[in-house]
Amino acid sequence: MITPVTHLLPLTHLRRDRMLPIRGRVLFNVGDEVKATDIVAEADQHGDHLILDVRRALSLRNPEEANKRMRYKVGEKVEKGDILAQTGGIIPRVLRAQANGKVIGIHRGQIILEAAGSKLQIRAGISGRVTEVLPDRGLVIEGDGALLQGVWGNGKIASGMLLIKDRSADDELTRASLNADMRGAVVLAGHVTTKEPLIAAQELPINGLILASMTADLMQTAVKVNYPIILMEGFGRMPLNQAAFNLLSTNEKRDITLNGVWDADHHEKPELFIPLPAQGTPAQDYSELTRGKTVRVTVPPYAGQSALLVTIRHGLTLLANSQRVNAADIQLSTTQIVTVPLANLDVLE
Amino acid sequence: MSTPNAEAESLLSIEIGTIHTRALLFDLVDGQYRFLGASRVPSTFGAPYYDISEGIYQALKQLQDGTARVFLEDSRLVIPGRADGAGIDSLVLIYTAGPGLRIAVLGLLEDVSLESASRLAASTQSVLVEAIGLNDHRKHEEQIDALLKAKPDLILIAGGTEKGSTRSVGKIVDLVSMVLQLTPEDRLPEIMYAGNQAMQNHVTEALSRFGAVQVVPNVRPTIENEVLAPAQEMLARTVTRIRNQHLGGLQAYASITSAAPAPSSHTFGRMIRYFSQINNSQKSVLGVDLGASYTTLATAQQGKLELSVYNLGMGAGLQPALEKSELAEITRWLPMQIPDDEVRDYLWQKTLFPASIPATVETLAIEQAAARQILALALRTHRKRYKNPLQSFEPVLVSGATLAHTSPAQTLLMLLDGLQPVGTTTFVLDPYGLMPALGAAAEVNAMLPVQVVESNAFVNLGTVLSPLSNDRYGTSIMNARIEYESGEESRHEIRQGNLYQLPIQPGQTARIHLEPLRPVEIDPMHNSDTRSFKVIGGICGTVIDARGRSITLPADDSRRRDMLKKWAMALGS
Repeated sequence: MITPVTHLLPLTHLRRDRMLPIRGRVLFNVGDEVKATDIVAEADQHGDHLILDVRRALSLRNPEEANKRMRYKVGEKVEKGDILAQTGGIIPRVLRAQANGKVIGIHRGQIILEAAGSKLQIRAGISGRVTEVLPDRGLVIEGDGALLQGVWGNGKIASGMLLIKDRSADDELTRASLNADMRGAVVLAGHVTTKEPLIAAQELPINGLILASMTADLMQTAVKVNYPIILMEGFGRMPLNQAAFNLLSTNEKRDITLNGVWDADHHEKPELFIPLPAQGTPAQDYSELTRGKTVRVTVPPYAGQSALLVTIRHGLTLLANSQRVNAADIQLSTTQIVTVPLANLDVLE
Repeated sequence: MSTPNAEAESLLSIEIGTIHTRALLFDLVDGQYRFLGASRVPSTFGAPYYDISEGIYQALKQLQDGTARVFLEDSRLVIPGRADGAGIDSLVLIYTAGPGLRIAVLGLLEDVSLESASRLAASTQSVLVEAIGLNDHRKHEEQIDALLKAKPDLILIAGGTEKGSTRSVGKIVDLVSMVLQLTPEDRLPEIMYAGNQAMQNHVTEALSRFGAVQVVPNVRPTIENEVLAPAQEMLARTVTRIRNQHLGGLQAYASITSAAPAPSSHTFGRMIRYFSQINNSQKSVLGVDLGASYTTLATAQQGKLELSVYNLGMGAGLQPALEKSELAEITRWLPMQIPDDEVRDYLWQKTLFPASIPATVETLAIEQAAARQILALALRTHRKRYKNPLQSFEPVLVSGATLAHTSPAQTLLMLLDGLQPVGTTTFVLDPYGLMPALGAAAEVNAMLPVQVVESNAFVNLGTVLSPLSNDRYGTSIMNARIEYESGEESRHEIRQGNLYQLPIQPGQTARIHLEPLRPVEIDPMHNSDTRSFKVIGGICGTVIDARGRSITLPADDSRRRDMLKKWAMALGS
């Protein structure tokens, strides 16, 4: 059975697309080196619109006459106070622009003015080299390093030096456990149950937070803080799986990028990337559930524990709750062998 | 799309779901169409493939292994089928995958055309991103900004009864024209016009420079009359055309399917309409498909279908369900004490791992409690949307993994608690989730769904009688006398507030005579004198649900849990 993989790779070659949803500008060329936090493409979003009725404002008879009195064409920029249209005569009637913007349409004697809108910006998300550019759309970045995938991210991207707060990674992060050494760093911690440490970390400030787990009612706070947060296991009180902890431990004090931007609708995952000066090979994103694979249990019981797949059971297995499911026997790090539904396993590789 | 083969025998249905891609095989067995097998693999429309083809290939490989038939040759589907038995004769494809379509609706009166347009939009997997009617209080430019910011995939315009207003429709078309003028060319939405047909030329002329305008029959030809069915057919095609841009590989498969690919909700609705036509009852048929991301709810009476798709479900759909509910509305259905934090965390974790299965008694109870709340939320919204009190149904057809992959008694209890029907209701489970596939197959082979429905692919859970009484808990409200075909009889005292499983074996026919001891409304849709019912026992026998409507749970947690356990035990769960 093929199953999706959650990557925990000490060294891989990573290729990631960064595409704008609308036409815009690509800010790098093929061959350029980019940092994870670089803005690589941007597009202008719509600003608010103003509809200025020239015919009515100047008391004209019809739209055609209004069109003749207009001083600007579609595409031209205007500043607040500029005369957009004017009648003739000794005391002309005028229509002035109420805001800075651009004329983007003229429709039945009306001028449509668009105020300057915000910019939509896409960041690189990983450090690497630009290998492809799709004009007006985006680019492809490739890089080598360690890759770890999480299960939830708060939509933000940043980099910093990796600091491991808790050796066991299953302790709770509190306000008191944050200290000045963590300023500007990406901190790995176990679990968060209150919003205070999340807010305190912003004030410190830290550059990112990797958590094993978090209680679900903190999601709103986690989305609001200005640094990236990535959950490696999910919601609830779960320790970090041993395989991820081992990999992160070997990279302590290295630069790490947290990319908390992900699209759950398309089965994407938030990612941690540690650029390394070595050449990796691309990894498979799907795998077979087979004997000997390292797996992780995704939901209770044993949620967040990594294990070795011992055997896939034949036929359906009856669980204690009377569900009949396809199941596997797995060996936890405690050497205990337990039976879990196949659907609750994730391959770690 | 290939031409349907009139001589077609075997039919393969592919369903691209948000989590799984399924392949379902139907073929003739002794001259009758039967469901022969299914396979299920992870969907591949998202990362890393971004193409449905790999998932379909894996599903076909698994189906080959499971059925010992050959469907693939050189990794390609063999279609049409060959004389040596390899391949299949017809292929249909349905989908639920991908985020909901962003639809903006524009109409004239809020409770007339705008309402009908909103119902039409809600009949497919969609997010209503903007609704603008004539009485919208926002300035013209604010309406333009709202539509631009909404970034719709589809703008649906309704308004004007036949021979009715044209000027007002013109104003709406002007607004849309301005919005389209300001929209980047590569982001132009599809346009569908479902208003006064006298305006169709005007609408087409005004908007066609921005792309093709789909003109469909007026959804509100008169103030009193709403006609959604023809527009729903066109909407399904439009949705597929838009989905072609989001679901890699869909367009390629569309060239070999025997009918155009369609949203699963659409073909599910088609089956519920069909059941209502053969049922010929005063009551509506109710269909519920409880999926991972969406719940489809369809009611139909004598061919008139009311279809809604809600972004509520047992996977990603738990997020909106949690946002629209108080946690207590879920935890009140738990028969054991579980801390609120644990319940919340588990359900949010399930949104991250929608394919996961509850592996403990507690997590199963949490999921089943959430399912009850989703069923209640969906039905409540459906009633409000169609301004239809909808209390009695016959039958209720249900599908979805949460309902299918548990004991029949637990399924029935979830349905009774979530839907709370009154009167007499037969509950039928579609354990293999065949209905959307059969609805799609109907377009290719009209006999296939009829014969598969008549086979034993569906499970009769049982008939439930839900009488209404205002008496206090524990009061004897009636006696139920069961008269078996053998002539034997049994009697049962029915007390208010309880559930009873009557001893009628699956498939056994019996007549139930209800003898009220107190004022009781037995079935609001039947003559109040009707107190005898012929029933066929389902897998849960026949049930009397005397818990009243709506079901009131004790305020005290301990008593509430005891009550839930007692009801579960009454059904043998």
